[in-house]
Amino acid sequence: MLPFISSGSRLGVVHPGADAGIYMQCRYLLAPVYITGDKEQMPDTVLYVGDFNGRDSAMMTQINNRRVLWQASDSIYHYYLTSIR
Amino acid sequence: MQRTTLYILITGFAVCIISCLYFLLLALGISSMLLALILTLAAVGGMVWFFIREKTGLLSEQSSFRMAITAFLLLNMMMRVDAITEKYGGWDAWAIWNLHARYLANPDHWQQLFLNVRYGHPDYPMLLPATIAYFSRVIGAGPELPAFILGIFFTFAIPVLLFMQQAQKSIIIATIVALVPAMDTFFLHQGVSMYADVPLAFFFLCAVIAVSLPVAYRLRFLLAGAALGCCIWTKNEGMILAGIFFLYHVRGIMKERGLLWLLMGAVMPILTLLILKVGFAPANDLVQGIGYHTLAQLTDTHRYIVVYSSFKKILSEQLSYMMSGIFICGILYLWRKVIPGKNMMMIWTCIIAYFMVYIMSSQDLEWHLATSADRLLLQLMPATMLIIAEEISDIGPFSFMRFNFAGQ
Repeated sequence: MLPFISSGSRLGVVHPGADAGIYMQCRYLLAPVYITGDKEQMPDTVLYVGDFNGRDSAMMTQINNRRVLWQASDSIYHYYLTSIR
Repeated sequence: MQRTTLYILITGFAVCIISCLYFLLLALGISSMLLALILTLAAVGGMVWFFIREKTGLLSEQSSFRMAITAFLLLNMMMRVDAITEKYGGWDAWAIWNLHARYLANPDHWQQLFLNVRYGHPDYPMLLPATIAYFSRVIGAGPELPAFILGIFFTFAIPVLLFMQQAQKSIIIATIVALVPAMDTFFLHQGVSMYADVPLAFFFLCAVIAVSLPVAYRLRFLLAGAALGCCIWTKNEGMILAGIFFLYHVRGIMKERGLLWLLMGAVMPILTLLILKVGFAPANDLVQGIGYHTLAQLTDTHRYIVVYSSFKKILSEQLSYMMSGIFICGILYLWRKVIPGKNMMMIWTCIIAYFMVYIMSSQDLEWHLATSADRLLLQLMPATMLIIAEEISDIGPFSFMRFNFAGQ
Protein backbone atom coordinates (compact mmCIF):
# COMPACT_ATOMS: atom_id res chain seq x y z
CA MET A 1 0.00 0.00 0.00
CA LEU A 2 2.90 2.38 0.74
CA PRO A 3 3.56 3.20 -2.95
CA PHE A 4 0.09 4.81 -3.03
CA ILE A 5 0.80 7.09 -0.09
CA SER A 6 3.36 9.88 0.02
CA SER A 7 5.48 10.07 3.22
CA GLY A 8 4.25 13.57 3.96
CA SER A 9 0.56 12.83 3.49
CA ARG A 10 -2.28 12.61 5.99
CA LEU A 11 -4.50 9.59 6.19
CA GLY A 12 -7.67 8.76 8.10
CA VAL A 13 -8.26 5.30 9.54
CA VAL A 14 -11.70 3.84 10.18
CA HIS A 15 -11.86 0.49 11.94
CA PRO A 16 -14.49 -1.56 13.78
CA GLY A 17 -15.18 -1.00 17.48
CA ALA A 18 -13.01 1.00 19.82
CA ASP A 19 -9.86 -1.07 19.38
CA ALA A 20 -6.98 1.42 19.63
CA GLY A 21 -4.62 -1.39 18.61
CA ILE A 22 -5.62 -1.29 14.92
CA TYR A 23 -5.22 2.48 14.83
CA MET A 24 -1.81 2.25 16.53
CA GLN A 25 -0.65 -0.54 14.23
CA CYS A 26 -1.61 1.48 11.17
CA ARG A 27 0.28 4.46 12.57
CA TYR A 28 3.37 2.34 13.20
CA LEU A 29 3.39 0.60 9.83
CA LEU A 30 2.67 3.72 7.78
CA ALA A 31 4.93 6.21 9.61
CA PRO A 32 5.94 8.94 8.78
CA VAL A 33 2.46 9.33 7.26
CA TYR A 34 0.25 11.19 9.74
CA ILE A 35 -2.67 8.98 10.73
CA THR A 36 -5.81 10.26 12.39
CA GLY A 37 -8.76 8.34 13.74
CA ASP A 38 -10.72 11.48 14.50
CA LYS A 39 -14.01 11.26 12.58
CA GLU A 40 -14.49 15.03 12.74
CA GLN A 41 -11.23 15.72 10.91
CA MET A 42 -11.01 12.94 8.34
CA PRO A 43 -8.68 13.77 5.45
CA ASP A 44 -9.66 13.04 1.83
CA THR A 45 -7.87 9.70 1.89
CA VAL A 46 -9.16 7.10 4.34
CA LEU A 47 -8.09 3.54 5.08
CA TYR A 48 -11.01 1.34 6.10
CA VAL A 49 -10.14 -1.77 8.10
CA GLY A 50 -13.13 -4.14 8.20
CA ASP A 51 -13.81 -7.32 10.11
CA PHE A 52 -13.41 -10.38 7.87
CA ASN A 53 -16.14 -12.43 9.49
CA GLY A 54 -18.83 -9.89 10.28
CA ARG A 55 -19.20 -7.54 7.29
CA ASP A 56 -19.94 -4.07 8.55
CA SER A 57 -22.77 -2.83 6.29
CA ALA A 58 -22.43 0.80 7.41
CA MET A 59 -18.73 0.71 6.58
CA MET A 60 -19.39 -0.97 3.22
CA THR A 61 -21.88 1.80 2.36
CA GLN A 62 -19.26 4.43 3.10
CA ILE A 63 -16.69 2.57 1.01
CA ASN A 64 -19.12 2.23 -1.91
CA ASN A 65 -19.60 5.99 -1.91
CA ARG A 66 -15.84 6.52 -2.30
CA ARG A 67 -13.21 5.67 -4.87
CA VAL A 68 -11.27 2.53 -3.89
CA LEU A 69 -7.54 3.04 -4.63
CA TRP A 70 -6.30 -0.26 -3.28
CA GLN A 71 -7.70 -3.22 -1.40
CA ALA A 72 -6.38 -6.36 0.27
CA SER A 73 -7.39 -9.01 2.81
CA ASP A 74 -5.72 -11.23 5.38
CA SER A 75 -7.11 -13.85 7.74
CA ILE A 76 -8.65 -11.21 10.03
CA TYR A 77 -9.44 -8.01 8.14
CA HIS A 78 -10.31 -6.43 4.78
CA TYR A 79 -8.40 -3.26 3.94
CA TYR A 80 -9.73 -0.56 1.60
CA LEU A 81 -7.69 2.53 0.81
CA THR A 82 -10.19 5.09 -0.48
CA SER A 83 -10.44 8.70 -1.52
CA ILE A 84 -13.39 11.02 -2.16
CA ARG A 85 -14.93 10.72 -5.62
CA MET B 1 37.51 1.32 38.56
CA GLN B 2 37.73 -1.61 36.17
CA ARG B 3 38.78 -0.74 32.66
CA THR B 4 35.74 -2.70 31.39
CA THR B 5 33.42 -0.56 33.56
CA LEU B 6 34.77 2.59 31.92
CA TYR B 7 34.28 1.10 28.44
CA ILE B 8 30.66 0.20 29.22
CA LEU B 9 30.01 3.70 30.56
CA ILE B 10 31.60 5.27 27.48
CA THR B 11 29.47 3.08 25.18
CA GLY B 12 26.34 4.29 26.98
CA PHE B 13 27.44 7.90 26.62
CA ALA B 14 28.26 7.31 22.96
CA VAL B 15 24.64 6.26 22.41
CA CYS B 16 23.59 9.55 24.01
CA ILE B 17 25.97 11.59 21.82
CA ILE B 18 24.75 9.87 18.64
CA SER B 19 21.12 10.59 19.55
CA CYS B 20 21.78 14.22 20.50
CA LEU B 21 23.78 14.96 17.32
CA TYR B 22 21.27 13.18 15.09
CA PHE B 23 18.35 15.07 16.61
CA LEU B 24 20.17 18.43 16.49
CA LEU B 25 21.05 17.92 12.82
CA LEU B 26 17.39 17.11 12.06
CA ALA B 27 16.31 20.20 13.97
CA LEU B 28 18.74 22.28 11.91
CA GLY B 29 17.32 20.80 8.72
CA ILE B 30 20.52 18.91 7.87
CA SER B 31 19.76 15.43 6.61
CA SER B 32 23.31 14.40 5.67
CA MET B 33 24.12 11.02 7.18
CA LEU B 34 27.78 11.54 6.34
CA LEU B 35 27.93 14.67 8.46
CA ALA B 36 26.11 12.87 11.27
CA LEU B 37 28.62 10.02 11.02
CA ILE B 38 31.67 12.34 11.00
CA LEU B 39 30.40 14.37 13.96
CA THR B 40 29.53 11.24 15.90
CA LEU B 41 32.92 9.65 15.28
CA ALA B 42 34.68 12.88 16.24
CA ALA B 43 32.64 13.28 19.44
CA VAL B 44 32.86 9.64 20.52
CA GLY B 45 36.55 9.41 19.56
CA GLY B 46 37.30 12.60 21.50
CA MET B 47 35.46 11.28 24.54
CA VAL B 48 37.28 7.93 24.46
CA TRP B 49 40.66 9.70 24.09
CA PHE B 50 39.78 12.08 26.93
CA PHE B 51 38.83 9.34 29.38
CA ILE B 52 41.61 6.92 28.47
CA ARG B 53 44.21 9.72 28.79
CA GLU B 54 42.97 10.27 32.34
CA LYS B 55 43.58 6.74 33.54
CA THR B 56 45.86 7.93 36.40
CA GLY B 57 46.58 4.37 37.45
CA LEU B 58 43.05 3.91 38.78
CA LEU B 59 41.91 1.65 36.00
CA SER B 60 42.53 -1.99 36.79
CA GLU B 61 42.57 -4.86 34.35
CA GLN B 62 40.05 -7.64 34.48
CA SER B 63 41.40 -10.86 36.01
CA SER B 64 40.67 -14.13 34.19
CA PHE B 65 38.55 -15.34 37.12
CA ARG B 66 36.33 -12.28 36.88
CA MET B 67 36.19 -12.66 33.12
CA ALA B 68 34.92 -16.22 33.61
CA ILE B 69 32.10 -15.04 35.91
CA THR B 70 31.23 -12.24 33.46
CA ALA B 71 31.08 -14.77 30.63
CA PHE B 72 28.82 -16.98 32.76
CA LEU B 73 26.51 -14.00 33.44
CA LEU B 74 26.29 -13.14 29.74
CA LEU B 75 25.72 -16.75 28.71
CA ASN B 76 22.99 -17.15 31.31
CA MET B 77 21.20 -14.01 30.07
CA MET B 78 21.57 -14.97 26.41
CA MET B 79 19.94 -18.33 27.03
CA ARG B 80 17.05 -16.72 28.90
CA VAL B 81 16.24 -13.83 26.54
CA ASP B 82 15.96 -16.14 23.56
CA ALA B 83 12.60 -17.42 24.80
CA ILE B 84 11.09 -14.05 25.77
CA THR B 85 12.03 -11.78 22.86
CA GLU B 86 9.28 -10.44 20.60
CA LYS B 87 10.09 -9.21 17.10
CA TYR B 88 8.42 -5.82 17.47
CA GLY B 89 8.94 -5.52 21.25
CA GLY B 90 6.20 -4.71 23.74
CA TRP B 91 3.28 -2.32 23.19
CA ASP B 92 5.17 0.83 24.22
CA ALA B 93 8.10 -0.17 21.99
CA TRP B 94 6.19 -0.10 18.72
CA ALA B 95 3.48 2.36 19.81
CA ILE B 96 5.91 4.95 21.19
CA TRP B 97 9.68 4.44 20.99
CA ASN B 98 10.08 2.64 17.66
CA LEU B 99 7.23 4.70 16.21
CA HIS B 100 9.18 7.86 17.06
CA ALA B 101 12.25 6.26 15.48
CA ARG B 102 10.34 5.62 12.25
CA TYR B 103 9.44 9.31 12.06
CA LEU B 104 12.95 10.48 12.94
CA ALA B 105 14.39 8.22 10.24
CA ASN B 106 12.65 10.36 7.63
CA PRO B 107 14.55 13.67 7.38
CA ASP B 108 11.81 15.33 5.32
CA HIS B 109 8.69 14.52 7.33
CA TRP B 110 9.99 13.72 10.82
CA GLN B 111 8.08 16.65 12.35
CA GLN B 112 4.77 14.91 11.63
CA LEU B 113 5.66 12.95 14.78
CA PHE B 114 4.55 15.92 16.88
CA LEU B 115 1.03 15.73 15.48
CA ASN B 116 0.54 12.34 17.18
CA VAL B 117 -0.80 13.77 20.41
CA ARG B 118 -3.34 10.96 20.89
CA TYR B 119 -1.52 7.95 22.47
CA GLY B 120 1.73 9.07 20.78
CA HIS B 121 3.56 10.93 23.59
CA PRO B 122 5.62 13.05 21.19
CA ASP B 123 7.06 15.00 24.13
CA TYR B 124 9.09 12.00 25.32
CA PRO B 125 12.88 12.44 25.22
CA MET B 126 14.60 11.00 22.19
CA LEU B 127 17.71 9.12 23.28
CA LEU B 128 16.37 5.76 22.16
CA PRO B 129 14.31 6.84 19.11
CA ALA B 130 17.04 9.08 17.68
CA THR B 131 19.74 6.40 18.07
CA ILE B 132 17.46 3.76 16.56
CA ALA B 133 16.56 6.12 13.69
CA TYR B 134 20.24 6.86 13.04
CA PHE B 135 21.19 3.18 12.84
CA SER B 136 18.08 2.20 10.89
CA ARG B 137 19.14 4.76 8.25
CA VAL B 138 22.69 3.40 8.33
CA ILE B 139 21.51 -0.18 7.70
CA GLY B 140 18.60 0.90 5.50
CA ALA B 141 15.99 -1.13 7.37
CA GLY B 142 13.24 -0.72 9.96
CA PRO B 143 13.84 0.18 13.61
CA GLU B 144 13.42 -3.32 15.07
CA LEU B 145 17.00 -4.60 14.73
CA PRO B 146 18.76 -1.49 16.11
CA ALA B 147 16.17 -1.32 18.92
CA PHE B 148 16.77 -4.95 19.81
CA ILE B 149 20.57 -4.57 19.81
CA LEU B 150 20.34 -1.47 22.01
CA GLY B 151 17.96 -3.29 24.35
CA ILE B 152 20.38 -6.20 24.62
CA PHE B 153 23.31 -3.86 25.31
CA PHE B 154 21.60 -2.02 28.15
CA THR B 155 20.10 -5.18 29.65
CA PHE B 156 23.31 -7.17 29.61
CA ALA B 157 25.45 -4.24 30.72
CA ILE B 158 23.57 -3.80 34.02
CA PRO B 159 24.50 -7.13 35.69
CA VAL B 160 28.04 -6.83 34.27
CA LEU B 161 28.42 -3.32 35.72
CA LEU B 162 27.04 -4.48 39.07
CA PHE B 163 29.51 -7.35 39.13
CA MET B 164 32.52 -5.28 38.04
CA GLN B 165 31.82 -2.50 40.50
CA GLN B 166 31.30 -4.76 43.49
CA ALA B 167 33.97 -7.36 42.61
CA GLN B 168 36.63 -4.97 43.85
CA LYS B 169 35.20 -5.28 47.36
CA SER B 170 33.86 -8.82 47.47
CA ILE B 171 33.65 -11.32 44.68
CA ILE B 172 30.94 -13.30 46.50
CA ILE B 173 28.60 -10.34 47.05
CA ALA B 174 29.38 -9.14 43.51
CA THR B 175 28.37 -12.50 42.04
CA ILE B 176 25.14 -12.60 44.05
CA VAL B 177 24.19 -9.01 43.25
CA ALA B 178 24.80 -9.51 39.51
CA LEU B 179 23.30 -12.97 39.23
CA VAL B 180 19.96 -11.98 40.79
CA PRO B 181 18.91 -9.53 38.01
CA ALA B 182 20.61 -11.71 35.40
CA MET B 183 18.22 -14.53 36.35
CA ASP B 184 15.16 -12.31 36.77
CA THR B 185 12.72 -12.91 33.93
CA PHE B 186 10.83 -9.68 34.63
CA PHE B 187 13.99 -7.58 34.27
CA LEU B 188 15.18 -9.44 31.16
CA HIS B 189 11.74 -9.25 29.56
CA GLN B 190 11.54 -5.49 30.11
CA GLY B 191 15.05 -5.18 28.69
CA VAL B 192 14.36 -6.96 25.44
CA SER B 193 10.90 -5.37 25.12
CA MET B 194 12.73 -2.36 23.64
CA TYR B 195 11.33 0.02 26.27
CA ALA B 196 13.29 2.98 27.68
CA ASP B 197 13.05 1.92 31.33
CA VAL B 198 16.08 -0.37 31.32
CA PRO B 199 18.27 2.23 29.55
CA LEU B 200 17.18 4.77 32.18
CA ALA B 201 18.02 2.24 34.92
CA PHE B 202 21.43 1.76 33.27
CA PHE B 203 22.23 5.49 33.23
CA PHE B 204 21.03 5.99 36.81
CA LEU B 205 23.31 3.12 37.84
CA CYS B 206 26.17 4.80 35.94
CA ALA B 207 25.59 8.01 37.93
CA VAL B 208 25.75 6.10 41.23
CA ILE B 209 28.91 4.30 40.09
CA ALA B 210 30.52 7.57 39.00
CA VAL B 211 30.08 9.33 42.34
CA SER B 212 31.33 6.22 44.14
CA LEU B 213 34.68 6.43 42.35
CA PRO B 214 37.74 7.42 44.40
CA VAL B 215 38.14 11.16 44.98
CA ALA B 216 41.48 10.97 43.14
CA TYR B 217 39.66 10.19 39.90
CA ARG B 218 38.99 13.79 38.97
CA LEU B 219 36.68 12.96 36.07
CA ARG B 220 34.13 11.28 38.31
CA PHE B 221 31.81 14.29 38.33
CA LEU B 222 32.10 14.59 34.57
CA LEU B 223 31.02 10.94 34.30
CA ALA B 224 28.21 11.54 36.82
CA GLY B 225 27.05 14.61 34.89
CA ALA B 226 27.08 12.70 31.61
CA ALA B 227 25.08 9.88 33.22
CA LEU B 228 22.51 12.30 34.65
CA GLY B 229 22.24 14.07 31.29
CA CYS B 230 21.59 10.69 29.67
CA CYS B 231 18.86 10.00 32.28
CA ILE B 232 17.14 13.26 31.36
CA TRP B 233 17.43 12.58 27.62
CA THR B 234 16.08 9.00 27.99
CA LYS B 235 12.75 9.49 29.77
CA ASN B 236 10.82 12.26 31.48
CA GLU B 237 11.23 10.39 34.78
CA GLY B 238 14.96 10.89 34.29
CA MET B 239 14.46 14.52 35.27
CA ILE B 240 13.05 13.43 38.64
CA LEU B 241 15.90 10.96 39.20
CA ALA B 242 18.57 13.47 38.14
CA GLY B 243 17.05 16.19 40.35
CA ILE B 244 16.95 13.96 43.42
CA PHE B 245 20.46 12.66 42.71
CA PHE B 246 21.76 16.22 42.48
CA LEU B 247 20.06 17.28 45.73
CA TYR B 248 21.63 14.37 47.62
CA HIS B 249 25.12 14.93 46.23
CA VAL B 250 25.21 18.70 45.86
CA ARG B 251 27.26 19.21 49.06
CA GLY B 252 29.96 16.77 47.97
CA ILE B 253 29.98 18.24 44.47
CA MET B 254 30.40 21.80 45.75
CA LYS B 255 32.98 20.73 48.32
CA GLU B 256 35.15 19.14 45.67
CA ARG B 257 34.48 21.94 43.16
CA GLY B 258 32.88 19.48 40.81
CA LEU B 259 29.87 21.52 39.69
CA LEU B 260 31.54 22.69 36.48
CA TRP B 261 32.57 19.13 35.61
CA LEU B 262 29.04 17.90 36.33
CA LEU B 263 27.51 20.57 34.10
CA MET B 264 30.05 19.88 31.36
CA GLY B 265 28.99 16.24 31.36
CA ALA B 266 25.28 17.01 31.27
CA VAL B 267 25.20 20.07 29.00
CA MET B 268 24.72 18.37 25.63
CA PRO B 269 21.69 16.19 26.46
CA ILE B 270 20.11 18.99 28.53
CA LEU B 271 20.41 21.49 25.68
CA THR B 272 19.07 18.96 23.19
CA LEU B 273 16.12 18.23 25.45
CA LEU B 274 15.42 21.94 25.83
CA ILE B 275 15.37 22.34 22.05
CA LEU B 276 12.94 19.42 21.78
CA LYS B 277 10.66 20.63 24.56
CA VAL B 278 10.66 24.33 23.67
CA GLY B 279 10.90 24.13 19.90
CA PHE B 280 8.94 21.07 18.86
CA ALA B 281 7.11 18.96 21.45
CA PRO B 282 3.61 19.59 22.78
CA ALA B 283 3.10 19.79 26.54
CA ASN B 284 3.38 16.62 28.59
CA ASP B 285 -0.02 15.10 29.34
CA LEU B 286 0.71 14.56 33.04
CA VAL B 287 2.03 18.10 33.54
CA GLN B 288 -0.89 19.52 31.55
CA GLY B 289 -3.27 17.54 33.76
CA ILE B 290 -2.16 19.36 36.92
CA GLY B 291 -4.83 21.78 38.09
CA TYR B 292 -7.11 22.59 40.98
CA HIS B 293 -8.31 18.97 41.14
CA THR B 294 -4.71 17.96 41.98
CA LEU B 295 -5.15 19.52 45.42
CA ALA B 296 -8.19 17.33 45.99
CA GLN B 297 -6.19 14.29 44.88
CA LEU B 298 -3.42 15.14 47.35
CA THR B 299 -5.89 14.96 50.23
CA ASP B 300 -7.68 11.84 49.01
CA THR B 301 -6.59 9.01 51.35
CA HIS B 302 -8.07 6.36 49.06
CA ARG B 303 -5.54 7.23 46.35
CA TYR B 304 -2.68 6.76 48.84
CA ILE B 305 -4.04 3.32 49.79
CA VAL B 306 -4.38 2.27 46.13
CA VAL B 307 -0.86 3.42 45.20
CA TYR B 308 0.63 1.90 48.36
CA SER B 309 -1.05 -1.46 47.64
CA SER B 310 0.23 -1.44 44.08
CA PHE B 311 3.82 -0.55 45.08
CA LYS B 312 3.74 -3.14 47.86
CA LYS B 313 2.56 -5.82 45.44
CA ILE B 314 5.28 -5.03 42.91
CA LEU B 315 8.02 -4.83 45.53
CA SER B 316 6.94 -8.10 47.13
CA GLU B 317 6.40 -10.03 43.89
CA GLN B 318 8.26 -8.77 40.79
CA LEU B 319 11.09 -7.04 42.70
CA SER B 320 11.08 -9.13 45.88
CA TYR B 321 14.87 -9.52 45.81
CA MET B 322 15.31 -5.74 45.86
CA MET B 323 12.90 -5.42 48.78
CA SER B 324 14.66 -8.26 50.63
CA GLY B 325 17.97 -6.45 50.23
CA ILE B 326 16.50 -3.20 51.54
CA PHE B 327 15.01 -5.16 54.48
CA ILE B 328 18.42 -6.73 55.28
CA CYS B 329 19.99 -3.26 55.19
CA GLY B 330 17.26 -2.01 57.55
CA ILE B 331 18.10 -4.76 60.05
CA LEU B 332 21.81 -3.93 59.76
CA TYR B 333 21.16 -0.24 60.39
CA LEU B 334 19.22 -1.09 63.56
CA TRP B 335 21.77 -3.64 64.70
CA ARG B 336 24.78 -1.39 64.11
CA LYS B 337 22.85 1.69 65.27
CA VAL B 338 23.80 3.67 62.17
CA ILE B 339 21.64 5.82 59.94
CA PRO B 340 21.09 4.70 56.31
CA GLY B 341 23.71 5.89 53.83
CA LYS B 342 23.10 8.86 51.56
CA ASN B 343 22.52 6.71 48.49
CA MET B 344 19.99 4.50 50.26
CA MET B 345 18.08 7.61 51.38
CA MET B 346 18.21 8.83 47.79
CA ILE B 347 16.56 5.62 46.56
CA TRP B 348 13.77 5.98 49.12
CA THR B 349 13.27 9.59 48.03
CA CYS B 350 12.97 8.40 44.41
CA ILE B 351 10.36 5.81 45.43
CA ILE B 352 8.40 8.49 47.33
CA ALA B 353 8.65 10.85 44.35
CA TYR B 354 7.26 8.17 42.03
CA PHE B 355 4.55 7.49 44.61
CA MET B 356 3.53 11.15 44.51
CA VAL B 357 3.48 11.16 40.68
CA TYR B 358 0.64 8.63 40.86
CA ILE B 359 -1.15 10.56 43.59
CA MET B 360 -1.15 13.65 41.34
CA SER B 361 -1.73 11.80 38.07
CA SER B 362 -4.64 13.03 35.97
CA GLN B 363 -4.96 9.59 34.33
CA ASP B 364 -7.23 6.84 35.59
CA LEU B 365 -5.26 5.73 38.64
CA GLU B 366 -5.82 1.96 38.39
CA TRP B 367 -4.93 1.98 34.68
CA HIS B 368 -1.92 4.21 35.21
CA LEU B 369 -0.55 1.99 37.97
CA ALA B 370 -1.24 -1.22 36.07
CA THR B 371 0.54 -0.02 32.94
CA SER B 372 3.61 1.66 34.40
CA ALA B 373 4.30 1.25 38.14
CA ASP B 374 6.34 -1.95 37.77
CA ARG B 375 8.54 -0.37 35.10
CA LEU B 376 9.09 2.78 37.16
CA LEU B 377 10.25 0.78 40.17
CA LEU B 378 12.42 -1.35 37.88
CA GLN B 379 14.26 1.84 36.86
CA LEU B 380 15.58 2.03 40.44
CA MET B 381 16.47 -1.66 40.76
CA PRO B 382 20.08 -1.73 39.45
CA ALA B 383 21.20 1.32 41.45
CA THR B 384 19.43 -0.09 44.52
CA MET B 385 21.16 -3.47 44.13
CA LEU B 386 24.55 -1.75 43.97
CA ILE B 387 23.76 0.40 47.00
CA ILE B 388 22.50 -2.63 48.95
CA ALA B 389 25.70 -4.53 48.11
CA GLU B 390 27.86 -1.59 49.20
CA GLU B 391 25.90 -1.10 52.43
CA ILE B 392 26.11 -4.80 53.29
CA SER B 393 29.83 -5.03 52.59
CA ASP B 394 30.52 -1.76 54.43
CA ILE B 395 28.43 -2.11 57.59
CA GLY B 396 27.34 -5.74 57.59
CA PRO B 397 28.78 -8.69 59.51
CA PHE B 398 29.87 -10.23 56.21
CA SER B 399 33.52 -9.33 56.33
CA PHE B 400 34.41 -12.91 55.40
CA MET B 401 32.71 -12.23 52.07
CA ARG B 402 35.30 -9.60 51.34
CA PHE B 403 37.64 -12.46 50.48
CA ASN B 404 38.50 -12.04 46.86
CA PHE B 405 39.43 -15.12 44.87
CA ALA B 406 41.18 -13.02 42.30
CA GLY B 407 43.49 -11.61 44.91
CA GLN B 408 42.82 -8.04 43.81
